[in-house]
This record gives sequence, structure tokens and C-alpha cells, in this order.
Amino acid sequence: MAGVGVDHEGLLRACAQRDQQAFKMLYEAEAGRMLALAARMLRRRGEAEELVQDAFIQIWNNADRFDSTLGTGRAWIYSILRYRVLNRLRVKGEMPLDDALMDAQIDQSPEPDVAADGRRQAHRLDVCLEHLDDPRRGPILLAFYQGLSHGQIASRLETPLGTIKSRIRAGLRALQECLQT
Amino acid sequence: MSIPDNEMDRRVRVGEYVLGVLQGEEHDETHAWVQQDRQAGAMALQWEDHFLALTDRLTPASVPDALWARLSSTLFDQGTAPVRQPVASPSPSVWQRWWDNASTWRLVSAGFAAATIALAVVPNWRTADPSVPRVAVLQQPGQAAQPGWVVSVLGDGDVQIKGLAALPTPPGKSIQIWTLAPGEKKPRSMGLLGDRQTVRLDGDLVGAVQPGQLFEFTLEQEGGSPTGLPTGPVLYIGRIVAASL
Repeated sequence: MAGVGVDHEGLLRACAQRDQQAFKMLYEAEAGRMLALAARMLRRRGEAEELVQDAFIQIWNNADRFDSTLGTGRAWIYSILRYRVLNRLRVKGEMPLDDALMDAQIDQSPEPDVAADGRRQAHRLDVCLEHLDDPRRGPILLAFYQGLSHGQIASRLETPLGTIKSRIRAGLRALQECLQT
Repeated sequence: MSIPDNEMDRRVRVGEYVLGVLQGEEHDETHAWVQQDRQAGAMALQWEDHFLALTDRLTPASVPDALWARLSSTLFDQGTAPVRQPVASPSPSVWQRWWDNASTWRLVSAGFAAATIALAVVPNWRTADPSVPRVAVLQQPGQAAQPGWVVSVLGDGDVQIKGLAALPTPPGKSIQIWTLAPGEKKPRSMGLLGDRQTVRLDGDLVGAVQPGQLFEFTLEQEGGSPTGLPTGPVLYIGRIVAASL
């Protein structure tokens, strides 16, 4: 994966010291994956580039506020990006347009386009997701890759809102239990 | 609607928040909680870390060279690093110049204006009750009898810092303003004082000011602290109190 061999925490500390070279390394390590995620969620390449750029500005300007006792550097970086993407989607309040792509997301297997990058690190979450049944895993993947809310997932899957909420909660609970073991 | 009591339900709620499925009151309440509660912030980053597995399933996109070019020119070609680059004159502050820089502003407006940068990493304290007057008197350390500067939160959330007497900056030095809110680990720079006797800090920069929040001036090298943290002696210091009358 992009993160292999990259010391995100060290690079963020260097960024906090205004080390432009470290910032460039961070950018080179993560920009491609960040752009892929943002483009997937937003369905708009230009907007995705804008938000990735925006995220990196925030990363540079706030690197001194990264606190490694709270979490990993890579999680921090993606939290900045995903938060902005989700906000943008929330403001627009729009449903994704491409149903075919949407349907592909619903029953996304644990290994969608992994083959393209064989260096990907095995994550505990992958194992745990495999233990989830489809009705629980599907909405979680839909939420993650499309940035859909409870209500949007319910309407897309034509399933009552309460059912979707409880499936996602049950899914996250099962994941959490699995991740802790 | 409220934050769950037990640990597992809390983790699940934060997971829903990080996933982005929450709406309405549930979203707002969880958002505020994650911003303000260190434990909830850590839970959020843990989920974020787990969800990297899903991000890593994606093939990295090819990034146009123009993106880096724009980014580096925005960040590095205009003296934009807040407070940390030496400037010939301490006034107006680097922050102000940075703030006034139209292209920077355009690029980051969606972020700073809304004070929504990330999860727990850059707290959005603007949820504090604005109706309670909050003030602090900054004094020289050990000089309790001589108030020097008064900090007050204005109606629109901006913070005014007003000196009762002029505070000339020694040659070759800068006086830097800092704040540290309860729960924050490191002081945040609020820019350089320059020769101003009244300073108005943008509410989006300061965040919502809370009782107990520290404000201080330190004497730094010209242009401000090179480390982003206070390094020089404290000139004035004081804590915010809620002036409920």
C-alpha cells in the first residue's frame, strides 16, 4: 500500500518544522490514493483534485497540531480529506448518478481492484469484513465509497431507514469486536 | 438524543460518524463530541485507521503535475507560513498578511471559514455559548497588581485584546500572541502583536473561547517563534473567566 515504508508521523513532524521536502514526500506517498478516494466519492475529478489540494494545504498549515498520541499520521491525513469530501457531499445533498457503478459497490467483494497494486498491506479490517454478511457489509461499503448518509442508503437500497441504521450499527459493532481480538 | 453511555456503543457511534452516515441532530451532536472529547477523537482516528483498508483497495490515481505546482506555489512562494517566517516589519502580522492574501484565502476559504478542518485534530470550539461574556486580564508574571492587557470575546466571536499601556517591541524581536484552550496540548499562535495597542483576532482563528483558556504574549525572535511554539519569556499571561453577572 501507499503507506508501506513511509513514516507518516516523522514526515508530519518535519512538516511542522516547515520542512518542504518532507511535505513533498508525504504528497508523493499519498496524493494518488487520496485523489482516487476523493474522485470515487465525489464522482467528479476536478472537484476531487480541488479537495485533495485543499487537504494538503490544511496538512501543511496544521502539521504542528498533529498529535501522535491520538492516532496515526496516515489516519490523520485521511481524516482531513474525508471530512472535507463528506462535507462537500453533505452540502450538495445529492445522490450519485451512476446506478451501475452504485450496484457494483453494493456487493463489493473484499478484494475489488486490489490486483492493480499487489503491494497492498493486509489490514485487519479486511479479515473482519469477510466475517460480515452481505446485508451488513454492503451498506458500510456504500457509505464509505460513496459518502452516503443513512437516509440516502435507505432510499437507494429501498430498505426502511430503521433497518439500514440497525444493520450499519450491527455491522460496526461486529467489526469493532473482531478488530479488538 | 444523546451520546451513549457504554464503551461499545460509543465506539459504534463514532464509527457511524467517521463513516459519514449520521444526519441531523445525531450528526451535530456526535460532531461536537468528537471535537471536544479527546477519547472520542482518538476513537475517530482509530476508525479512520481501520478504514484505510478500504482506501487501500483503490488504485492510486495519476495526479496531474499541475496539482503539485499549484500547491507549492500557494504554500511556498508567497511567504504564507503563518508567523514563522521572518518579516522585515512586525506589523501588520504575518498572519494578517497571510489572511489578506487573496489566493490563499480562495483556496482555503471552505476550510477556515467553516472551521471544519478535520475530526479531533483541529478542534472546533465554536460551539460554546456566545451569550456568556468571557474576559481575561493579562498580567506580567509576578505583577498581579498591574493589569496590562484585557482580552474579551466580542459578540461575533472575534476576540479583542486591548492594552492599557503601549508595549513597544524591542529591536530585533517580536511579541507573539498565543492561546491554549483547556484540553489542547500545545499553545496556538495568534500572530504577532506588532505595535498595536488593540488587536482583533478572527473568531475562526481563535475558535470559541472557553473559561480557563490561556492567553499570553511571549518575546520571540523577529518574525515569531521558529518552532511554532513559544520559546521566549512570557511578557503577559492570563486566563479567561466567564463573567456571568
